[in-house]
Amino acid sequence: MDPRKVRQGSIKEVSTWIRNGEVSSTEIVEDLIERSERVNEKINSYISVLEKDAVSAARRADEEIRSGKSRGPLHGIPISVKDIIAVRGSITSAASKILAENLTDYDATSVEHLREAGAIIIGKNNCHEFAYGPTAEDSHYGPCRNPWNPELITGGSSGGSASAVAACLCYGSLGTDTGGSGRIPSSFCGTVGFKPTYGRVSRFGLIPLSWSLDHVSPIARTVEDAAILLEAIAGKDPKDPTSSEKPVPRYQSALSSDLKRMRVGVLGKYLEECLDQEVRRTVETAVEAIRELGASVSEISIPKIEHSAPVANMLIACEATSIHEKWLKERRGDYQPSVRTRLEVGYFYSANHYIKALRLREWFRREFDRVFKGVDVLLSPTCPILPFKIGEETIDVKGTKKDPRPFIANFVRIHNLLGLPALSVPCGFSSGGLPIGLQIAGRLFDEEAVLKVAYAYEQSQPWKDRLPNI
Amino acid sequence: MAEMTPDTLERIIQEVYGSEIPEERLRVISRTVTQTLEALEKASEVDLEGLEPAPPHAD
Repeated sequence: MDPRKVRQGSIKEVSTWIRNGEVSSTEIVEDLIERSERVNEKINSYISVLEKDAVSAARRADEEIRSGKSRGPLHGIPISVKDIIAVRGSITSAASKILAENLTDYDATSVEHLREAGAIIIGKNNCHEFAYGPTAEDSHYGPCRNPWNPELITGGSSGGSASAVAACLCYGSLGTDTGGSGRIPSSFCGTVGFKPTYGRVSRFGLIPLSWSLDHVSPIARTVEDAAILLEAIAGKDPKDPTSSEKPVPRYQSALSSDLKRMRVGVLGKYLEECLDQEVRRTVETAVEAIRELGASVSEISIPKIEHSAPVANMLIACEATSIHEKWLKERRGDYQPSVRTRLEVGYFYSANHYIKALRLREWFRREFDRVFKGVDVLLSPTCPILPFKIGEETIDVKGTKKDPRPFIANFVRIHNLLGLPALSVPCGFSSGGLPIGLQIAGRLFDEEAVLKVAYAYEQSQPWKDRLPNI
Repeated sequence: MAEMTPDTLERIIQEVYGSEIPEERLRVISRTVTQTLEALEKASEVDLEGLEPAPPHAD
């Protein structure tokens, strides 16, 4: 088969080609390793490519498939993993000098599930150091670069995961999402990033950033592939007491192109002051397309929503500072300066501030419960702006120069605060050819409604077939 | 900063930095903390009576 066609295929398509003997997992893995050597120089997606282990695993997968054993759609499919998630036999550095020699001798539960499903772990992705930043600029291994334009940020923190998927260096990736870290880079790189409900996927094996907001987040090129990945990694894990006992649905069965009887709310009338006009127009067009697919659309407003991101920020800051306290005392000079500053901020909040933020989380939860009585999903832009130049201190926002970093995550963070499932799907491109993401969020454990709307929209549009030329 | 007395601030800075107090870093931290606390105060204008803290637990 044409290697380019194989590289650009979806998990579902490639899985069929492997099963039918049109291409082998070994051929695919060898091709992607060779491609990664060339492309990684440009976009810095991988900290390490697990060449030897990946080829061995692909050979085993081929043997199993030839002998008639099928593990499902991920069997023989190369998947990458953010370097903050433990993979047995690899360095798990969290993109930090502090953990640059942290050889891991166990798999995170989500990785274990991927292996059971037959996936090939092909490499460890670069990211913002310790997943603490929305740009993926600040890594011990250098900044992640956007495959649509390597001078631009990927967004973060799971920047290497989204860029590797977009650049066809793998078919999917496990990222994490504590305050938008899976959805932001998906929006900026043109991939699908899916943060499931808190507790849906085990957090065991993650280097934590914030215990109560961390999520494992699959990243893929299509909604169907994101559903396949989530189905493989979801479920109760005795090693993570916050993981849920609820049975895991067959997410692929939720995918349908019919949105009749779906009630869609649009959350868009806040953050007006920092919303890029191209992003606004593109998202408004996407909302109209969803209406045309049969959904009823209404505008939703939630009081104080503009203050939800700082509430989440406070919880993250306090928890992250506690997690990093030992290294902050002993290795503070080894942090990226911006990450160190973020961590030090957590020292200056009191217990009263933290508890107030927790009570506000409850208040927002009640408001969202009220909203979700009237709608099945909520739509908004994923990010209010387009990706900007790496290192750029300010960008022009409606005629004013502003540092964009504090507000990149303003639409996404509320869903971490409340643990709600939320997905970013490509919904168009700017006049300069940069991808724009639409965020779809749902009720707790209603991943199916999110996937249904995302899939129906994606199937009606040409965006998933547009890939960066790199 | 709300509820942050100068003595408390000095104690925290001493604990974190020892004798070294980098002005530029402190300026960034101070701005971030101040903005976050202001947002927290604005968010807290709602009625929090009877609301207990709870993590987003699954079950």
